[in-house]
Amino acid sequence: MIERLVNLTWILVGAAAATLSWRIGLTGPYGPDSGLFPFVAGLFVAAGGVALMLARSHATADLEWPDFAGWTRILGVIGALAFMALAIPYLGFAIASLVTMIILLRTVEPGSWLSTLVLAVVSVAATLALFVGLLDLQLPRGPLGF
Amino acid sequence: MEAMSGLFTGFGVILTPENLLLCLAGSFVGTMIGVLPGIGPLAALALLLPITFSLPPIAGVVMLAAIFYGAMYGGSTTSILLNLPGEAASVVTCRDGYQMAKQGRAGAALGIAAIGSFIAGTLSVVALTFFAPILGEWAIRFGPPENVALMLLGLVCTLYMITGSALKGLVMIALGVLLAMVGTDVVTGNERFTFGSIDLSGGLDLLAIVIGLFGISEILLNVETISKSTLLADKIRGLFPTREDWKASLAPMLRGSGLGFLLGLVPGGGPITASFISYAVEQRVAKDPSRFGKGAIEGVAGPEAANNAAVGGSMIPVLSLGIPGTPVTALLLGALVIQGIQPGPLFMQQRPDLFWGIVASMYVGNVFLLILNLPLVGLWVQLLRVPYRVLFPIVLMLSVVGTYSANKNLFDLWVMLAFGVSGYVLRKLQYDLAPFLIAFVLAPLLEQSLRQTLVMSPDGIMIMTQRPIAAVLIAISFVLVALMIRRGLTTRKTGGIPHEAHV
Amino acid sequence: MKLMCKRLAAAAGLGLALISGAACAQGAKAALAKVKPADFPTQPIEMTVVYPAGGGADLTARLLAKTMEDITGNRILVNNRTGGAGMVGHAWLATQAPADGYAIGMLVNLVWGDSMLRAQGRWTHTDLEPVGYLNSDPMMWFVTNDGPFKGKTLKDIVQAAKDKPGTIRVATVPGSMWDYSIEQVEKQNDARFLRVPFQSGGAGVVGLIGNNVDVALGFYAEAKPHMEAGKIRGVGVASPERLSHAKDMPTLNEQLGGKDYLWTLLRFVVVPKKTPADRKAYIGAMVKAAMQQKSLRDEYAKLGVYFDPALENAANITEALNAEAERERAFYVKTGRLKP
Repeated sequence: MIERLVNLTWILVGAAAATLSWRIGLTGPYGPDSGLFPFVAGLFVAAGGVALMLARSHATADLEWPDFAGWTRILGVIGALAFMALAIPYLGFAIASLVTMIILLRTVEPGSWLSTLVLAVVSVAATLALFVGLLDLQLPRGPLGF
Repeated sequence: MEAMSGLFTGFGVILTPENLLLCLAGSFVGTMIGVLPGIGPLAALALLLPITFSLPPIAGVVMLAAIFYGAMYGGSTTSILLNLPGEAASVVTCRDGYQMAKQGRAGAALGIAAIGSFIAGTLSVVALTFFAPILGEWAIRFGPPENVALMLLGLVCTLYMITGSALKGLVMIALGVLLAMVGTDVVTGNERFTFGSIDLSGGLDLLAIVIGLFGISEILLNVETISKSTLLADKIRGLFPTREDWKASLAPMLRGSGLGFLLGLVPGGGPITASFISYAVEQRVAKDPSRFGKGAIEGVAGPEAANNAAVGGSMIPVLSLGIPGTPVTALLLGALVIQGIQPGPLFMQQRPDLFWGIVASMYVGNVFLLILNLPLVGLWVQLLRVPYRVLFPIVLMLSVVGTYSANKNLFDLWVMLAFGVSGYVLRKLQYDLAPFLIAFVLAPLLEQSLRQTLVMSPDGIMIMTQRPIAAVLIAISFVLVALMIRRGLTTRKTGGIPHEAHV
Repeated sequence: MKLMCKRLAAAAGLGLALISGAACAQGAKAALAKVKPADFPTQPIEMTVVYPAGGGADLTARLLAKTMEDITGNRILVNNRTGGAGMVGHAWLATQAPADGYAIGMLVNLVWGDSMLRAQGRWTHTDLEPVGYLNSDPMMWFVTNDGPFKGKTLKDIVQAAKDKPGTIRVATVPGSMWDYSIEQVEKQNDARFLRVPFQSGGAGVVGLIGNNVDVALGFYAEAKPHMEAGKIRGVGVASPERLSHAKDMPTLNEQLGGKDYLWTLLRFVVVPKKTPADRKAYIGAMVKAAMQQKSLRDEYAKLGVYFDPALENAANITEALNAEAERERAFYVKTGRLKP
């Protein structure tokens, strides 16, 4: 099912890209214009999608998706990263990454709260020391000034 | 022997306690930065550039150069241990390196990677010592038509290394080309597929894609089945390469060194292309190509040698002509300029102390790196004993900071995440993602060079046959494609399914 | 002190006689102390450069940051926000940078073209206020010493492009100053070149050395080592007068008998428009003080730039640079790139 959806995505993305490139223009005064390369690539992607749809031999044989607990963990990781990207501008790097670390550590096989907190604080502090202290990288600051 | 006396001068300059210490420091920092996922040599050099202001010119450049090649040494570490490339040039190292680690042979893989890097690094400095001016002249002749031919050859080589369904591999190549087109078209300045977004006008960031597609997706695959005591490898067999490993690796290392050096010389080459082509070559010449992707040590030795030799190669146009071919060498050049020194064709005559000092430091640096890295192998292998539930959040955090640090743009984090999720789904469906990456890297240069070629040529595409280097490269590509078609046909005739070399 | 100031003026070349007497650097420092706000700066100032580390703009910014740090003792960190040939960094400065004085930018006047032609209303350069001028870097035309234009002048080259239109290969950077300079020469001389697109001026000069083009446009710093080695030669510079460090290179105006063959990179410092006035003034004073240091001027002079006295002495640098931007807008309108 998911495999067919992916194939469909190729067809749609490829066709859309080819159409857009067609509008940009394929050839200019000296040969290929901005549209040619993406047009050809788009056609290939779409054609590949069609072929994959038809040719059953290319379908993945022993496909196994995770169980419920597996999905929770995967979504936990994705959610944590999305939270971090969203929160950095508002909370600053230090706080956002601390919260993210806690989410990550709690999602996957929770240990004790104490060990989670210690690990989160230590790893964030180490990251900050490494990048900000040693490498002088400016990471976004939060409302509290760090 | 002008080179010998020059080298003598160089060692005279470099063998001071201060310079040696800075070279050692650079090697160490470079290794660490290579090991950290996400932060590549370019971002690291940009961050550390201000430190060199207060140093004498030679010391500053020696340190920066050491960071550059040190990062190439370290880049393989996380690829082998965690299946997570430290930088784009070690994506191919993941293939067989990680499989070796899973079989408990992480030590052998790391050892071969370090020694391969040393051999390649040293050989390329030897070539640099004796042939810098000649090779510099040769590299500069590499105009748009030659670039077109080289990029085509690179793409053809990629076809060889597709694992799994060939059709899926082709879709990945096409998609790589397509996504590389997002952003501002350098030839016309038009925006393509940006949908009005300023973040997209700069195109998708290579590093964010590498970390997402290979790193985040790997973590997602792993957390599926993680438990409290999950370790990446339960058993660790031997820390060092065996006699058989040596025998199998020597020829790939030498081939990788030569290939990497030549590709490093030319603007379109560089470590990424070098490592991919080297892998394809090793697979092609191997007696039993089916071992590749299942822990073949040649698949680690060749590409790791190639990406280090490419560093040496890329120093040639900078040192002999003052022309940087890659962003990293441009930065090294900048470090010299900020000190009031502008390398150019006369650099060698005007400042022999600097030129030969830098060359000599590269010999010394490679030795330092070997000494540093071999004992580290034991330490890194211990990393596999850390429970995965503790290891992966830290790796994720480092990936996020590394990805952000390159452009200071939060949008790159979203790119990383999106490619991480897509990478997870695609890997589940057994797509080979490496061809995507190499197509993404090669496509913009191929497009630009092709269009430049067509503009500057009065006879259209036929210019390719009039320029010897381009013609030879194109011929090789045709032969390779012909061989592949023949192989495909014969397997079909004998009744085999066309994907024999697959996992 | 006096002697130093004199030497400084001589080194800068283009008539910088105004900085004289003991007022020199000390005066600037005193002026700096006078305008310093009580509560600023208390943390490092971040100077954004929109081009990659190691390039001309980046070096200019890093040298400036170092000098400003030395004078004031504040930390100033250079930050490269790259992508889209400057677009990403420009947009960040104009729309997202905090307007508290801690975010400043070192820009090149290419920002105007970006804003007028490519920003599509998402941001404009008027969201940024220039507070200090650094230097000017005029565009030069180069040919090789062994190529088809050995010993020829720019006039000869333009004549050749007139006689055999579309055959002389010239390296250009599309949609930028390189293109405009070529276009102007073509239009006003009824000539036509074959424009080969490159992603940067430096790449074009490399193309010239490799004989992949016949003419390239670029800047002094990137061509200097190749000129010294006798590989390439400058045939014209798009500045109002000959440069003191390249006396034998004629101006485009001399060669082609015009007045308006002027294409120069201007480098200057901006802050987001909403930055408090006292902080703006302090940053402006900091730049000015740094630019009066002989060491910095020498470093810049080594990169082959000159200091335009009109901009350096402008009573109000913001207005002076905005007037330059308007001149550029007029060019875009005239050439049909922009609707009036």
